[in-house]
Amino acid sequence: MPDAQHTEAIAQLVHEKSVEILVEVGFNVPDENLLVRLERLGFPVDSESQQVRLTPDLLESALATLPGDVKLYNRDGEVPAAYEGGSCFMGAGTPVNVFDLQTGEHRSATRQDVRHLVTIQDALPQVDIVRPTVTATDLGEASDLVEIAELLRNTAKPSVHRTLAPERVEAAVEMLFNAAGGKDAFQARPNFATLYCPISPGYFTPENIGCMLMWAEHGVPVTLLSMAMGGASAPATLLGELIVINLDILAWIVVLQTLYPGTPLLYGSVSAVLDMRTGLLPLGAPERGMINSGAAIMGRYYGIPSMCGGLSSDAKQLDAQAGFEKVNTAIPLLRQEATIIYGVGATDAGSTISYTQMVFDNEIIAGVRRMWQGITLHDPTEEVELIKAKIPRGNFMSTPHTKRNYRRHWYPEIISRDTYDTWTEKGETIEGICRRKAIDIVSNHQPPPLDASVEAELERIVRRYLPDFHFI
Amino acid sequence: MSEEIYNKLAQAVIDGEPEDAEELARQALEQGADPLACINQGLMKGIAKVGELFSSGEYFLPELIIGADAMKAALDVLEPALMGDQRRDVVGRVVLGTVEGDLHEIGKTLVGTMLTANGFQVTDIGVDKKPSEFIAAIQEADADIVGASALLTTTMLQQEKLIEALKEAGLRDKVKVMVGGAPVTEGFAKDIGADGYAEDAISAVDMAFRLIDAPA
Repeated sequence: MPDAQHTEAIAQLVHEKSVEILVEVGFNVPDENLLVRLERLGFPVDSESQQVRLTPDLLESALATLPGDVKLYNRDGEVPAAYEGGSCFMGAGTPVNVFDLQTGEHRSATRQDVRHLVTIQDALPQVDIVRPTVTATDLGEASDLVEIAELLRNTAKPSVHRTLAPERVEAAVEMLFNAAGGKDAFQARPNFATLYCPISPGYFTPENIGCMLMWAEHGVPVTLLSMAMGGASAPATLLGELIVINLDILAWIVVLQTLYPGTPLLYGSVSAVLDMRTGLLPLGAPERGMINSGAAIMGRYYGIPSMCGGLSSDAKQLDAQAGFEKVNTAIPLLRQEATIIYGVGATDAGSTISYTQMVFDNEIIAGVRRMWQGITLHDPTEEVELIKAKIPRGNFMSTPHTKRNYRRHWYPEIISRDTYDTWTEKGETIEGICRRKAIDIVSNHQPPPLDASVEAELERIVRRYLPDFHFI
Repeated sequence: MSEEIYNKLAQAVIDGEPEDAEELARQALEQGADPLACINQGLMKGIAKVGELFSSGEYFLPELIIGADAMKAALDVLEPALMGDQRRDVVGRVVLGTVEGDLHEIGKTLVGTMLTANGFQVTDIGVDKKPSEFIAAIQEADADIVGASALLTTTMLQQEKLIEALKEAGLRDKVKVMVGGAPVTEGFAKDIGADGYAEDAISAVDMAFRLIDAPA
């Protein structure tokens, strides 16, 4: 990496300053039982203010048990190829709105959307990790269990989601272990990770704490996912914001490792910088990719995988803004080798998922992945001999060397390279092509089916919360 | 003499200097200035200028918020000194809070600042507030508008519960309900029977003026 020294200096500084804050001031733990447990384990606790501080010893032993090589596996026990020297791309999520598949209408998302959006991510080759991407608003709060069931059922790829309340974690874990063929099988090759967000700076809600502890107890990978807002819930400089991101995550790395040593953890950030003209949180801003590249730097510093928000956009339609912002927010994350880039399908500052954007994101990812390969250094003897033979005015097209190599270059599936006349004749917009492809996938793509008995079991578990539930 | 202190108060608001504003307010009272005139000819002129600079794109939110903070710091000194039946002119009275189960503060506070800067009297009751706490504050402040904020898809449903509780308390016809927060949409606001929805703090001000039927 060209700027290894620079990023190492950032990581060192951010770590030191976060530790200083966590040792001096600490973080808030609004859970009395947990406060008692933490005090017994040696954390300095002020039960009045519910403030907990770290000590250098606790920090050191927590970082010693933190497992490094945490990967997510697909249903067949393989890891996505993108883990090898690149970044995995993952679905976004999970807002309550969607642009309708057929009409493009902006409306509330339903369970059917969850199923369709998971199916599309399963079919798109550049999507490595799947999310429900939307919240099914037609199911009430227990929609989280249905969303997890739909993930297990409609994709063989690894997936990421959460429960909203601690009382449903047991049911979710039961589904996961069941689908994986038991607890040991799941833990050996987890195909699922969960994620929870702090309220920056220094606070997690009691519900999120309850959920995290239970998932960790079951050995399911937990992503500590910061959602800091520079200028509002964190300082306005990127370095200051990164210190907040890091202290929120580091505090809970130490808590979770102390309570459950060896729990697999991911370092996540879907942070951004507030737009001070409106108070809105733009996710297509250059700063979005910049700040979350900090999570990739810090994840690497602690030796754990990172999950970073990018490939995002504030656009409301598949337009020039969408193209610009999607690429612009992904590049800093690729540059810092984020383990997972979080954003496929997101538009409208993460508030709405778009089917057409999701299909186009596949094209964008393919393009940026190709660009990222750069000019490779290899022995050019064959090329040199060929060039000598072709001087002057020779043609390289019919040589075996060309035939063997030209397919390394990128061939788009959606972007038009047609002449003006052909393009006019076809008469199809990018949006139109994406919609056609999305509808085609939803109508024809068959994700590898789950074993019928596993599917019946998933249904049975969901019915404890939604009595009339059955898969459609 | 008085003119000078009014101008200084206005300037402290425009410059966003809460400590200076508070100190100037104290000095004004010591010098025997009329507190109501200090408010109307000093602070209100200052905040109006801040609003103007914000509208023209010169000021962004941080200047606006710190300007409102300066105004509030001086008001805290001047208001208790108002004499007899002197009362500060307000456009309308608003109670603001984040609904039960939701601890998100920033968006709601921003709305409060914007309303304050536009002449509303704002009672901010904080986060994680039950319908009964909203109702108590509405009665206490004799509010024209109540604003309920929710940032989570799970807590936005509490906005509907507040509206139900207002009906039960017989207050629904007396107070206009505004809802907001990231997951809230205009359609949702309509479905739950709210009077107004605003997608950001700036449009919340326009909405508030519309709801009390006053010119913005």
